[in-house]
Amino acid sequence: MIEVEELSIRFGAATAIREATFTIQPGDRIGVVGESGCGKSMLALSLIGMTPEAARVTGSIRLEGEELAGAPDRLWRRHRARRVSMIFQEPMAALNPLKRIGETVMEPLLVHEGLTRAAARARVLSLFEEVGLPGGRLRQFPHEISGGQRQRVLIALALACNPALLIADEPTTALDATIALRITELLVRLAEERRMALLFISHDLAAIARATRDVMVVYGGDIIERGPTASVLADPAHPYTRGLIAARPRAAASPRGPGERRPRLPTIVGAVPPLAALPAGCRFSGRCPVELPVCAGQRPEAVARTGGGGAICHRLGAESLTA
Amino acid sequence: MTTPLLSVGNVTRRYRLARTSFHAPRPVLTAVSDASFTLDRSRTLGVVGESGSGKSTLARMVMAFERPDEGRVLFEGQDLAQLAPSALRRLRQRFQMVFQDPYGSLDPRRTVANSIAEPLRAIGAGDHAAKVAQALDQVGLRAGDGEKYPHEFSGGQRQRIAIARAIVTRPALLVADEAVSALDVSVQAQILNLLMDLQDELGLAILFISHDLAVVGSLCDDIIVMKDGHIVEAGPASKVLSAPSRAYTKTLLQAAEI
Repeated sequence: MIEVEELSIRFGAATAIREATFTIQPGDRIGVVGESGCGKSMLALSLIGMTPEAARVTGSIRLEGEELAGAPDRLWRRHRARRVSMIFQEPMAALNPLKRIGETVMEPLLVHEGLTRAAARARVLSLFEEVGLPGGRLRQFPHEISGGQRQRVLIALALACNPALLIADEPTTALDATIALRITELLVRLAEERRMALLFISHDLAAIARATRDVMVVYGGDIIERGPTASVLADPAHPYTRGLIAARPRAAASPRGPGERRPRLPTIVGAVPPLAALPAGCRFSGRCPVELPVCAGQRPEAVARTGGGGAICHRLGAESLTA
Repeated sequence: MTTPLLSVGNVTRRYRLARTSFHAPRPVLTAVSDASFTLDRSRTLGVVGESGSGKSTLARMVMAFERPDEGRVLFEGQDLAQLAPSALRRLRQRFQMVFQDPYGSLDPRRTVANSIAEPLRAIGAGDHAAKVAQALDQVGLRAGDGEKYPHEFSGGQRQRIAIARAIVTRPALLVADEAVSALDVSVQAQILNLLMDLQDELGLAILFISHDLAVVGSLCDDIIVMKDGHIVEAGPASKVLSAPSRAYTKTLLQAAEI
């Protein structure tokens, strides 16, 4: 359905995404995980034609066969909402505070689908039901409903024109834990019921684990590892993925006596470098605990990982990571 | 038995909300209801709950930014609400706070050293330069970083600066309100480790407020879980996390687990 090939996004000399290749099929639930500044949001925006003007997009993005990489906004507008739709982290910022939420969701149905008001209203009611919003909420304003309900409104809005792909960029990050859980469950159910593809972007490994079947780990603009979510999380192949999973605090504690030292969390040394200062070879070199002399200068090849997918790392294939 | 460093006894805090109708009395929101706990030196107490559960109100009462309507907050045995303003100001160097958003809490026009020295000026302490340099060193920043401005640092480094400012007066208690929530996983781990190091080094007691049970589990000796202003569960972290008694705590745990 969507074929992305050697997609690069550059800002002047800085590379936000480097030669990304992947496909999305109907019903896929794909996670994109990585830390701030790794390029995951830029990747998402490129799939809906909303990269900033300064960005230079090269390579190929084919949406149902139509080439859209670097296409003018006028072409993208034909597909947005109808083929590809997106929801964002901050639902309040994405809603017009002066508009009743029912009106907001009705708008694309009137504009894109050319429905009558009565037909659009009926469709909004069924969308509200689908995302778990009481129909009585139609006439309320965004400030009158909770954060979780606002995110449900945005999901209803994104679904209004039956998109084939829904991109969710940190959809649960601003929500309370229990609400986040419900929203994640809702997105999974909708993807399954509608056979809609879901691209779920998050820095939260727990949310990725719940929402997705496959995952791409992004670091420094490279997809450094990919594969079935369960196997990548259980048995990460790339040192960055390993570091990320190890650094995650666990909801488990052992009692500590007086004067006893609490175990420290494993960390990844340093910080994500600015895009312009990324190493030319493996993006993770300089921070990698198992770096080889070749890593900084030469870009590693993809190596298939056990459990499906693959990782780009010079250590893989050459010798075992754990050695 | 020695006096606990911090003892919170049966505190309740109510807010009067805006009138919804001209005739009706103003509705009252009870943000914290009858909450009690103690915290000793070199220990960490986690306060877990979602937005609106009352955990930040509790923190503000511990910091004496707000007075409880009922109950008492005793710091080293002294009732904060009974202290004269000047005595409270002097005592403030003993308890300090770190907030979620380090960028919002640092003045962008001031050098980092200037911001870190702020609590020292507030209590009229001398020898700022040496104390600021020591605080920078303790949070893993270089002495030269003091001359820079907040925008020159990453989010994790800015949180280090905020922590340096909080420890510069040698407090006995650090209140951290969602101090690592805005940080990426790998940076979060670095800051959590820093808090553990500082606790070992300085004997700090930490009141650690978070919505994330996993983060709390990695750092805290004891946990209280708050919901709608009430403490619904309390106990040693190992017990609360391995055998939560409340359905609500179980849901929070489920949210934190892969």
